[in-house]
Order: sequence, then C-alpha cells, then structure tokens
Amino acid sequence: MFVYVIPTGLLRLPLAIFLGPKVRDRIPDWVITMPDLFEYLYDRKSKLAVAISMIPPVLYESALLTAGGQVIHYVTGVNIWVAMAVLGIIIVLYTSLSGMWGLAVTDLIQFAVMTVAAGFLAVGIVTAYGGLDEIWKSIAAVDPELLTPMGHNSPLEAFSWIIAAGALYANSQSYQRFGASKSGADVKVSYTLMLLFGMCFSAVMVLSGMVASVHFADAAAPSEGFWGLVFTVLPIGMRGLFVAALLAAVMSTVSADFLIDSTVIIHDIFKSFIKKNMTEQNVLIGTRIVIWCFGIGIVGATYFWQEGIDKAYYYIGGFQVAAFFIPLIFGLTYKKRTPLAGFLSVVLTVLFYFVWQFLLGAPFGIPTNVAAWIFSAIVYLIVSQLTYKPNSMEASEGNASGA
Amino acid sequence: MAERNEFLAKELTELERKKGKIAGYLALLVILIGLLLGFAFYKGMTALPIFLAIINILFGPVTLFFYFREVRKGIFKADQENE
Repeated sequence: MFVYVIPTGLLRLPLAIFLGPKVRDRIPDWVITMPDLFEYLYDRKSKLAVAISMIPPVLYESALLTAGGQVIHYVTGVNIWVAMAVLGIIIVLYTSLSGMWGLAVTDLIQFAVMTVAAGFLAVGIVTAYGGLDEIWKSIAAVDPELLTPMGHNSPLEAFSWIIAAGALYANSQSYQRFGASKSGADVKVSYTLMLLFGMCFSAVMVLSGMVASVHFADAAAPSEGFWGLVFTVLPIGMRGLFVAALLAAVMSTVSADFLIDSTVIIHDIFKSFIKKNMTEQNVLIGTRIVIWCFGIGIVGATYFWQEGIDKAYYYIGGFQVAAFFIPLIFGLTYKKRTPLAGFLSVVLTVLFYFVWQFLLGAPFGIPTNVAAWIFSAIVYLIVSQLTYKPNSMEASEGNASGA
Repeated sequence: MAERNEFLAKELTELERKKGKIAGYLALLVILIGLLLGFAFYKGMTALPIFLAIINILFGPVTLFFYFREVRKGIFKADQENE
C-alpha cells in the first residue's frame, strides 16, 4: 500500500496534468505510436530502436494468458492449455476485427465488471472476517510485518517499487490513449479520475492479498490462496462475477498490447523502413495477420510461466520501462536533447538491463530498474552534453514528417 | 462565418479552461485520498473497506453511464464519417 499503490497514484499526477496534455496538444497528428514519438523527439534511428525493443515484451501477454487460463482451470476443471487457447482466440478475434474502437468499448465493459466485483469482494472480506481491526489483529498474529509501511521490503526494494510508478510514463498504452483523446484538457480530467479510482481499486486488491496470505497461508501458490479467499467470502453469483472480472482485466490488457505491438511491426517497422508506399488497406490486413501470429505465439509461450507469473512483469516488461523512461521524459522536457543521446540511451540501457538482471543477478541488492535508470540518465546527459548544438533540435523537428 | 468560427473558438477555449480547473480539483482529491488511504490502512480504520466498496461498486457503472451518454451524443460519428 505504502510502497506502491499510494506513491503510484501521486507520482503519476505530472503525467496526467502536464505531460499527457502536452503530448496531446503540441505533438503533430502523424505521431500515433511510441516509436513515432521517438522519431518526433529524436530521429528515425531512435524510432527503430524503440520499435524493436517493444516486441519482446509481448511475451508478458503470455503471462497474463496463463493467469486467465489458471482461473478458468480452477473454476471449471477444463484443461489449462485448452482454457488458455480458447481465451487467446477470443482476444485475437475481437482485437483483429474491431481494432481501437472495439478496445474502447470492451475496456469500458470490462472496467465496470472489475470495479463492481472488487467492491463486493471488500464487502465479503469484512462480512467473513469482521471489521478491519479484527482483520488487522489476525494478520498481526501471523505476520506483523505486513502491517508496517515497508512490509517485507528492504529500503532499496521499496524504492524500486515506488519508482515503478514510472512505468505508466513509458507505457505505450498511455500514449495511445493521449492520441485518441479529444484534447489535452480531456486527458487531464480523465487521467486524474483514473488515478483516483486506481488507488481505490488497488487498495482492495492489497487488502485481499494481505487477508489471503494469512488465512490461506498453506496454499500451494499465492494465486491459489487468493482464489481460496474469493470463493470463501463471495456467494456463488458473485464468484462468477469476480472470475469474469479477472478475465476482463486479462483481456483488456492483452488486447491493447496486441494492437500496439502489431502496429509497431506494421506501421513503425514495415511501413516506415521497408515498404513505404503501403496502402492503408494493406496496413490493416498486415496488422490483423500480426495479431493472429502473436495470439498463436503467446499461447505457446505460456509454457514459460507454469511455475507462476509473479516475476513476469519485472523480467519482461521491466526493461522497456527502464530503457524508455529517461529518453522519453528528457525528450519532452530537456532543451539540450540530441538524437544520439536518445538513441544510445535506449540501446545501451536495454543491453545494461539484460546484463545487470540476468548475467550479474542484480548485484549489491540494487534492483535492476533502479540501476538501469541511473545508467540511462548518465548516458543520456553525457552524450547530450557532448553532441548538443544550439537550434539543431528545432531544425530537425521541422523536418520530421513521419515519412 | 468568420464571426461564428471566432465565437466557437472562444467557447472551446472556455470549455478547455473549465476542464483544466476540474482536473486541478481532481488532482487535489487524488493527493487527499492517497493520504487518507495511507492513514486509514495504517490505523486499521473500520470505515475503510466500506468506503472502498462504495467507491468501487459505483465507479464502474457510473463511468459506463457517462460513456454511453457520450456515444449517444455522437462521439464516434466524426471518426465514422472520416472512414
């Protein structure tokens, strides 16, 4: 609660109030995707580096699909591979056929299902275990550290969670939504509302997790403990609603990322660098084909998350945030930004992330995202100082056309 | 025609300004709720789960209602005409 939910809500306010509206109002209409944004801020080399870096995190969708498949398996007894395949096909079908419009509609419906289910879960927890003081007493008897602001986190781990708030700053879904908004003012209102609600929704999930860790401590996996809690505190009809809520969350995220990543491959890589005269019709067909390829690919990739998905975002999605955050923020705010600083910051930080995380095993207890941000900032500032020429970025922005 | 366009532009700017003000109040509310949630969690306040339940149960359907109201006003019409 104290190292993630609340800091996340507060630290994302500048994105809602300043950066998001700036992106919406001041950046040209040809900037549609995150790679387009990097081309606008820097050059086409940076665009290509970012576009390629955005492809591996599609593996994170397989972790989400695993979560959804596990739920269907727990609830219905259906073979988990069949469950994941069916879920994957449904997501691919509506994403490929309806695109952004379909996403907007389904996201809203899925959002409503999630919020109502979470609300009833909070009621169910209080009904089953007594008021919060009773619940807190039972947690204190088993794991009192859970009730402290840091929980079981070291100061560095807590800091790592806090700066994970930066994930939304480098999340391509954010920029997808900024571009789709009517105006910067709309971005301000909708994003702050989202932050407000996000804290309340996440608070219910934190409360549920704390209760599950104490009352279902013998569960084979945290996810089983969580579902044990849901099926204990909710009546039968509400259980179905909660299952639908989780599946809704999975489908919402996976469909949005499918659309983004397929757009990256077709619009940002194929059309921008290989076949520049591609027609809009061909772009649409290509996007649909890529969505289907992703769908088949991630069902197979669920094999990697059989032991649990708790580290999935950190391993797979984390490097994208670590590599993009600094050049994105500096690109939007720093006057002395240069194309080479943006490009090298992205490329070298991706390499640094893999070395620090997988070869060195995050030495000295320094979480990889913390180390990567420090490295990225150092590279960026040094290169920009060495390569900055006054008026050079204004001239290059005038020439940038998204061609 | 030019006068009408100027009038519409002024109205739009006024609307943008109003939304900016609303966003400012919402940002203050985010900070306030964040601090209250932290305090309530730390103290184990009984009202917290009830508050969270009410917010969560209402927020989604209310958002859905306003969304469909925007759809009825024609928010997708411009996109469809362009297509």
